[in-house]
Amino acid sequence: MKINNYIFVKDISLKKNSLKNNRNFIAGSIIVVFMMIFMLVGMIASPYDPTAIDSSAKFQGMSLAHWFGCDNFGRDILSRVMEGTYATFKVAFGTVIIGTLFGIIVGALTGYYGGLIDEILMRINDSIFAFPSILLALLFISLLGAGTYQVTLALGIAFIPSFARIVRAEFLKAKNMDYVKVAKLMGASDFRIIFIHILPNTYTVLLSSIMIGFNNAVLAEASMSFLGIGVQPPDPSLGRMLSEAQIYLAKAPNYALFPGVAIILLILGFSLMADGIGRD
Amino acid sequence: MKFVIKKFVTMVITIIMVTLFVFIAFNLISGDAAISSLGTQATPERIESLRNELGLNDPVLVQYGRWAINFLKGDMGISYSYRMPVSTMIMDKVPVTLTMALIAFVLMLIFSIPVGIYTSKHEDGWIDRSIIIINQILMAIPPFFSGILITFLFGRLLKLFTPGGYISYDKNIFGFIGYMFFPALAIALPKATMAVKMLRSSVLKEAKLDYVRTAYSKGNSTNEVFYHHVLKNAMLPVITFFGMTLTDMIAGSIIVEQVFSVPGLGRILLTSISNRDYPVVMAIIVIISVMVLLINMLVDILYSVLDPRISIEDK
Amino acid sequence: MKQKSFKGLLKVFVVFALTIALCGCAGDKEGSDSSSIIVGIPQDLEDSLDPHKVAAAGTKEVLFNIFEGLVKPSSNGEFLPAVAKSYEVSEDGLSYTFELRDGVKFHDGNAVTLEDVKYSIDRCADDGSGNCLVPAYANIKDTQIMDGGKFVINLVEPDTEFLAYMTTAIIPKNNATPDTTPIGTGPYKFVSRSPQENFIIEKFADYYDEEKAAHINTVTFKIIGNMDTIAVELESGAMDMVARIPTAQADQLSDKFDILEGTMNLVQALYINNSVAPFDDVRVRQALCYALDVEEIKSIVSDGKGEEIGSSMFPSFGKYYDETLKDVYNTNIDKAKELLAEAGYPDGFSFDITVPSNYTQHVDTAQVLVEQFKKINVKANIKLIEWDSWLSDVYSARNYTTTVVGVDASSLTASALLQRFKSDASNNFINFSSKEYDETFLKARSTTDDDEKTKLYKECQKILTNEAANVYIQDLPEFVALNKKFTGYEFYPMYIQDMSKIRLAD
Repeated sequence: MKINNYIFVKDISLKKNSLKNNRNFIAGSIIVVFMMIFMLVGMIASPYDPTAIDSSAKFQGMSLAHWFGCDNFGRDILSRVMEGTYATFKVAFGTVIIGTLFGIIVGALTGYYGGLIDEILMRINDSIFAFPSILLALLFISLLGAGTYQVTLALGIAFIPSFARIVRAEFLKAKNMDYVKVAKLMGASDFRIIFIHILPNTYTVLLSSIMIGFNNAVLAEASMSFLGIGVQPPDPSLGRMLSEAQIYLAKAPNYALFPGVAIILLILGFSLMADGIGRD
Repeated sequence: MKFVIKKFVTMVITIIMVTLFVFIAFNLISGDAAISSLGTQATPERIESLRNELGLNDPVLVQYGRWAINFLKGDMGISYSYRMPVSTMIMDKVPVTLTMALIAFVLMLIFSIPVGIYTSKHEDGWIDRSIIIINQILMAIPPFFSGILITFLFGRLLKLFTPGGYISYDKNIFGFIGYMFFPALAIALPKATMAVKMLRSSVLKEAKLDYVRTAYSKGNSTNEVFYHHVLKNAMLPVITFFGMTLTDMIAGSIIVEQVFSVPGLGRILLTSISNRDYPVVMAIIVIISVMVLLINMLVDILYSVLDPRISIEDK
Repeated sequence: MKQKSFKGLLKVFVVFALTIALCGCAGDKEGSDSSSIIVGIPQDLEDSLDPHKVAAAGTKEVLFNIFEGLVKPSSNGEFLPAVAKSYEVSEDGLSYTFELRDGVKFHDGNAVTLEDVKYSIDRCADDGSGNCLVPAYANIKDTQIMDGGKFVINLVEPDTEFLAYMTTAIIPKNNATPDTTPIGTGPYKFVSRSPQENFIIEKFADYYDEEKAAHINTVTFKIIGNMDTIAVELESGAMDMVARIPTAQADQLSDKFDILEGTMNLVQALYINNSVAPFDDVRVRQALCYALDVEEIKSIVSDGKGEEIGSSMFPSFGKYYDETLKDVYNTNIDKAKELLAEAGYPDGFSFDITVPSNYTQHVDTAQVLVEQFKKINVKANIKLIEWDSWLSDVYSARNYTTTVVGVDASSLTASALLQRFKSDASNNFINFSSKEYDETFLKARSTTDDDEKTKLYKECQKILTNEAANVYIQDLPEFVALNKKFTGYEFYPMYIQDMSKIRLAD
């Protein structure tokens, strides 16, 4: 999770624009927009109540009444995937907002000023890398409690270091560039240099890392709810549906298939968009 | 030499920080080893006396100091839940996780290097395009889902292995490797697809540089230029990636071990965390971090050997 | 690396993959040896192996094969003499005399002495640091070794149920490491354990009773890492037996297996913290009972199997169980709404259900409950929590509103299930408090007349039901999958896997 951020961004920032890359972006956007429409339909006109139980519809296969079939509680899988997609989007947005906001501040300051703070921060970064993420998740959960907002906050905090790292790298580069030196000579304040001069110049890198952030947030949310942390039942979440469906794999493969495909589409969409943006 | 010393010092600092974090975390999360091992038979008196016995009533830093001193003496302590020495408990499991990571690593190499080279040599051909699309989709499959898919495909449909039928390495080494192939595949898949993508773009970037054009204009054959110049230089960033992947494979095997019922370090770590069994958790974390940091150091050294332009002293 | 060698590499890769896959197939056939059986267990023995200190039910059920007490429970709920040849209870219920059986040996070859017996009982009464390991032993006045191989336990207060606690394992006095090397007198002896992998026991050749000795030589308890592949593992021969197999897995098994049905001997209920508002009002608790539809839970969670219950007692307890109590609250939404309105909640309210996330059947039950409570405008929110957090937050600290779990009996006595609802019991995690109950319970415990005792214990159950102490649901069904190569499995009224009864089918 932490690795690919770093590599991809470094990689992407060097790319030149070409038609092919735009194709990536367009394909990615189409997928993401499709998923958003899918989610909106669920919010406005969900075919069934996603939590309504019906013991007579238990494991009903795919039919006109239930397009994706029903789960072990007789709940409509289509409605649940829609609602679950919404939950995933919610967590992903929150996570990326917290992660970028604080990541920019920390990265900008350390990259620009360097020195001891920078050194300490990099060590903390290393330590977090070696820290088992399950323990980190449990720690957050016992401090904050389980639930959607808590998981968003926990993931947001966990994402700060990787964003900070990317921003820091950009600032290290920019620090020695002519336009920054000139601005300094002209007596611009550090605050102004950081936020008005350098920051806007890093937008491609930022944008694509935000997209990768979405990508990773979707994955992280799914993993967390797969482990039972995050969205609490009976409210649907894609990861949890997948983990509940595992035991019925032989009986009802459709139960695992649809939430799985929804997760893959979301990740695919965001990663294609990230590829595209970096190349404009 | 200076580099190695510096790296070593930062490694020690990192490990101290990680272990301290873990200790503090254990004090913050609810429940402790005493409550956990007494279960529903707990009475306030028995909890208190077990806490005293295990030293859980001391301040965090005292506990940490005691642990650290014993650890440096080579004593990893006794597991609170299993009541057996941590060292014997873990040493059995290290080969399991390491083998899984190594098989995954080898799989990633044999898959990604040829495919990466092929696609970059045939840029924009229809095979390249379809590989890239498949690659992109495979990359989007989360590890827990690919675990389920692999179990379903190879285990249930093709019956190549028995899901959950793990065979211990000291019983039957071939059976062991045969079983570990599949969880390793689940770990290797996302990394390999990432590597293909990286290798391809790295080669394409390198191929557009001036020296390559010069080499061609001097009449060198395509393959010679490609393998001697382009590929050699393009491999550099990829090698860093491979190094990081290996560390990721060792550290991040928890979910895959769970899906495939592999009794490795990840599963012991998971249960020990939920039993609040910190001697075990600490030992595993130290082992994993040392492996991770050592590999990182090796990658740095390898990097400078391969590319004389880079001196490790600068880093 | 030329282009040709790429194809070469691909070939190597394919060959490599295939050989490895084939190796994997060849290795599976182990375990079909006729004198051994592989039993899947859902959780590891993450515990001390000292029978007096072990806490987890999952460890106890395995250790049952290794250890024996002076007496031993049988599958129909009686106590059979084991290390003791016979026993006598004085008429006043104050003194228990046991006669040691001749020729009983520990697994290390030494004969069992009265010193070992006294050591084992005394250790459970006081472990050396003042803790009483078996709560009932607080009632022991003293223990004495008498002439003629007899052993006497004197009690402070009369207790006619005390025999049930004499199942305490007899262990050798001189075992220096009881935590990791269990030595007992049971039909099986300990061989090895590998964390998260397996626990192996072997037939004890010197067992004192040849009729009751084990049939199968080696039993390997294999820890199941992934509950979702149980059926595949059983079919492939990687396991021969699984107790408590989920219905979804049992459904997939072929006719190579027998599916035996029993109950888990648990009181599954929505346990309510009786001291937290609004549940301190009996009408609110009753309203939840009226909203409950057990049939729907059973049909969704366990394919309609399971035994509905109405109080803190399950059918395996025979004479103590009162089956009329399950009909006190039949589903009645209007009645529930009425009660809520009376209690001052005409528009309902909202509360949390804390559920340990590792117990799928409880999580699933809670999900159905949420929907059922919606019908009376009560909004329940599920909070999943780790088992160890449950132990500390819910069970020890009682910092919760409601929780869905199953409570088992630590011994085969009615008081084992009912004692916890005494208002001052240290394990009264629902904070139930009723003067009437306390009095009835104490009277029941001290009565020496058996019929009177049974009647009073039934009275206790009735109070729990009328007060709606908890929303009682069911005794969960238990399915055991056993390869037809084997036979002889017996269900116990407790959490026990008795491997000595299992033998090869003819």
